Amino acid sequence: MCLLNAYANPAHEEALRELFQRHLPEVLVTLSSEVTREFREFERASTTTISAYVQPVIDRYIGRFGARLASSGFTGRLSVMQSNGGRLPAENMRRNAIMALLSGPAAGVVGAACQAGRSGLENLITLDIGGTSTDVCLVEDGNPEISNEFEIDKLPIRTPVLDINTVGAGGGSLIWIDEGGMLRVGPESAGADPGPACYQRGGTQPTVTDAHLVRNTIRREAFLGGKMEIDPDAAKEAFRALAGRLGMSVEEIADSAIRIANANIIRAIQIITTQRGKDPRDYAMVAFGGAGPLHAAQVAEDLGVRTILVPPNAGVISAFGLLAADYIQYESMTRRILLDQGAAHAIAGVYGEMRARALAKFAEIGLAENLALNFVADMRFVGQAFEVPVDIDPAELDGLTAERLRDIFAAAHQRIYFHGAAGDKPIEAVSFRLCVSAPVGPLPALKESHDQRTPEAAIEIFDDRQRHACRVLSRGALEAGAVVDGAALFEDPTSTIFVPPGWSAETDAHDNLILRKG
Amino acid sequence: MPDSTPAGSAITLDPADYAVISQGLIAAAREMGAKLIRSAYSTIVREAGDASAALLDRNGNVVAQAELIPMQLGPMAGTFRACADLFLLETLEEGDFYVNNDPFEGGQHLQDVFIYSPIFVAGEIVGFAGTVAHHLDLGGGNPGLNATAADVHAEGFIFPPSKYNFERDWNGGPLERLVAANLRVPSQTIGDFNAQFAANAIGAHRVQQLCSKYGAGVIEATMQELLNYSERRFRAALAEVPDGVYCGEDAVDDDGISDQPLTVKAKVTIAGETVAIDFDGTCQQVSRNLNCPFSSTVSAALSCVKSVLTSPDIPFNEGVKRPITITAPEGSLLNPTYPAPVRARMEAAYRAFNAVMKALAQVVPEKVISGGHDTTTVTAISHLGEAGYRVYLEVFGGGYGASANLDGCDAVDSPLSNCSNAPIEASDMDFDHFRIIEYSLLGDSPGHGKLRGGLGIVRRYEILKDDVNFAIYADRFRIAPYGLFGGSDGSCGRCEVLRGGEIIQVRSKDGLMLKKGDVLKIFTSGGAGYGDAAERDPGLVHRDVAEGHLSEATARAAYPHAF
Repeated sequence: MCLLNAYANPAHEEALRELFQRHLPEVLVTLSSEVTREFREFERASTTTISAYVQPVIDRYIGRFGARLASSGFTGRLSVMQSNGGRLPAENMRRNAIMALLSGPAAGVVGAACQAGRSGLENLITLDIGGTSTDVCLVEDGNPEISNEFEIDKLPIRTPVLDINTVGAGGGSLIWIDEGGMLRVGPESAGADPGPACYQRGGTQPTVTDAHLVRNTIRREAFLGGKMEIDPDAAKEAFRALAGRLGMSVEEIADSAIRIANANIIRAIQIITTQRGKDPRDYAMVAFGGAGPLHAAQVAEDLGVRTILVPPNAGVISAFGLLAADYIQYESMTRRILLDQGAAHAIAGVYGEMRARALAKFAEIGLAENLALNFVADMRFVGQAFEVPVDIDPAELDGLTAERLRDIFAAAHQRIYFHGAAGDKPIEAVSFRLCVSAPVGPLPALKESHDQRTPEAAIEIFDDRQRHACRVLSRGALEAGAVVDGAALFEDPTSTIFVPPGWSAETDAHDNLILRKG
Repeated sequence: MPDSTPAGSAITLDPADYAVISQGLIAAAREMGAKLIRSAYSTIVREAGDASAALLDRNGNVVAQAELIPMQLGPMAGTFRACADLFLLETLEEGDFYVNNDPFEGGQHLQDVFIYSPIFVAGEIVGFAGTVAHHLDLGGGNPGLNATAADVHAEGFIFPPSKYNFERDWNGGPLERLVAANLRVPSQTIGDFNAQFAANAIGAHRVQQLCSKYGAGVIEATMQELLNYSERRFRAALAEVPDGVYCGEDAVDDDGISDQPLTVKAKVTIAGETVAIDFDGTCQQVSRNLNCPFSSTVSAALSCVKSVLTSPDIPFNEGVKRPITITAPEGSLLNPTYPAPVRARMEAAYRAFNAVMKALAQVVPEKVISGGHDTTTVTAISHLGEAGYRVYLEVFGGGYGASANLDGCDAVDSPLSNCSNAPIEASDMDFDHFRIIEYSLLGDSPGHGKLRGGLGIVRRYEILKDDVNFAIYADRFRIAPYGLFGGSDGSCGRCEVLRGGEIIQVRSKDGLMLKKGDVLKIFTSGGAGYGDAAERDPGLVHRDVAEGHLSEATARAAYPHAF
């Protein structure tokens, strides 16, 4: 149920629900005012509808899963990952099912951010490259960026989610020439079936994985720790027709395809950095997923990023993210406040109201200790329709002035849109969000297996238009503090890490592999 | 510096660099468009998205474009050249810009103001960043919309093709002061101009970044190759279509004065890899604002051919225009001469689109769609209160025509304009002289067929103050959307005001003063059907009845086989 203006006053939605419950008790009712408290009826109705659509499914699933666990003697606390990067006790997820959407990629970001934090890196670009797509996200001061806008199947959803940007570039992305003669990579993917040509499961079109195999940046003997048989000749064969059309060698076209795939990934990162007024050079990159560490250095180099961290077991870091996630809940509210002398007082009032609501919810799930609160105001010049989120430090609320708010907002607007800092146009705050998080207890260390070692090898790779001599090492064989210069490949059971010429790598005390430029 | 001839360029492009840079140019144009909309002030730009952005080469050829509003895709080159012919490239300095909104100098209607900023790299111009936004109010005879304008001067402020400098003339300078003084809602409109300048700066910045990485010569060569690329792909699509001469015809209801339909005729000649479209036989230009400047005619015809014959991922740029010739007789509705008023050009532009579509239906029946709402229904509800003018402008959707394999889409803006609705909750926040009390799908509005048309909509406004000025231009109030291959026509739109117990019928091009307590109702047309109704899947008929899209009586009459 979504009634006009219910974001401001939910009384009618609530009264209608009561009527439903009295006369049609078997009907499940979802109220827009309980899903999101922000204005714009179409987006709110779409969010509410999807919430109502997934809720019975997730409710049943979690109910069944919990019962199974209990009957097997599990006495711990079952919690579920949310799309905002936090966890929620399973019981609460049954009522807030929409928060479960897209939680898989979120877990990867949380795990990566947590593990990078141990090495003292808190401002990060996460790079997660899998079989069909690449997910990138910005992390500031250890906290992944949050967005309040995303779409599923073209339907807008307005709940806080990790601001992950996805592009169709992964190991299975198809390499092709369109009818205008342009070499393209993706977004179509061969998926896992038939998969890349080298899998020999019927795929004949070349993919990014095939390109790596041709360039020798993936070795057949190390693919998935040597557990899967792949055929380099099939990969080469798949490129032959394309190479002929563009008058290039098979190696050259494979290398060109990797550069195009990297460019697609770079554009995805530019969308969350430069396009939002942020300089990628201020961040380190964390690379994970099966192919993230293979592409990271060249993507980083193009963006001016000079440090890359590859966590242990980089192919499966999202499992660690599930353990590392804090308990998180969001409150949102639309209330229009003009930035005048009374604004700070009004905003403090909104904060107090939202804080009380959030704390009550946390008390309900038995969490009241060590809560961290993060307060964001969506602000705009009066007359605009899209807002710029501005962080407000709750500790600063007492001494906050309208001038100070104007300055933070105008600076943020100028950074993103290249205008707006000058003049004294009226400004308003429209919506507010409060994030409350409760940390989980101490986490176990994450270690690379040092048992699996294969002998070092010397090979030749084709990269960035030329051949290079390249060392191949087992990741587990690298002792802490030892430095290896590129070109080098580190192989581990879940991924291959590529250190191009001009880069070096070493393992630190937390078992993270750190790649540095120069 | 590179040779900038399209073919046989002096610089050999690496295929990977070319792919990377061309995608980078397209991404930059999209970023410009997205930021223009997100930082704009007036409802029409920010919520409806009535704006476009592009990167041009140094000769003014559009290379990459944010594909937001198809109608705004065509006129970039013409409006640019009108400026560049008068104020030569060689005279441009950092911070200069071209501006033009003149319908007889390549522009469309005055509200669409085109601004071009040169992109300098090492003192040389490598290209231009250009934006166009529909400005809410540019002065003229009536707030927002002047349905009775006798000439273009009554429609607003004309920027003839000209050159100014941002620091010197805008930014508190004389041009900004002159423009602001001639507008009713200067804060919003000046804000939208600033959003255009900023979007241009963003585009320039991104191109400069690409130049510093790859070299300006490579960027310019890529721009030329990207034009060739779109041309090649468009020619390949045209080559697939059987050669021949195909004709189509449609009409605008009337000119707002008489009841005489305004006929639009198209003759489409396909020969090998080329297509020629001639609008000979179209009626003379009219004294009201229904005239369609030639650049709008070109956009409409081009949009139809491109959407019917090619895949959507061909970048829309000047290369697409090379294999196509479009002509319309001077002094006709589709190529009017000064000082014809042109504000409501979209109605005739849509009929040009429809006439070309009908012609193409004869040769590629599986790729065309039936007639839809295909109308820009614009209403302005304005009020002069203590705090100055409040202008509410809204564009309404209607039903799409059906195609060979899909029912027409319900309640969306028509193919050439692609605007979205302003949220009702946003209008409620912004305006206090009216309240929206209904917005719903209009049952029984679509035409029938194997595939049905899309549904039109109903909107009701309760007027909350006296002396509220209402203006409308619309179409399809008398001539319904046409069915194809046996499908039936869609329904007509209408507009009425309930005052006390009385119903006042409002014409499709009209205006009147509203009083407190009036209820304004707007109905838009449903799309037409495609194919024989007897072939429609009975399950779909029952679904439409169950969902209230068709009444049972209508369903039984149109689809007896389903019952």
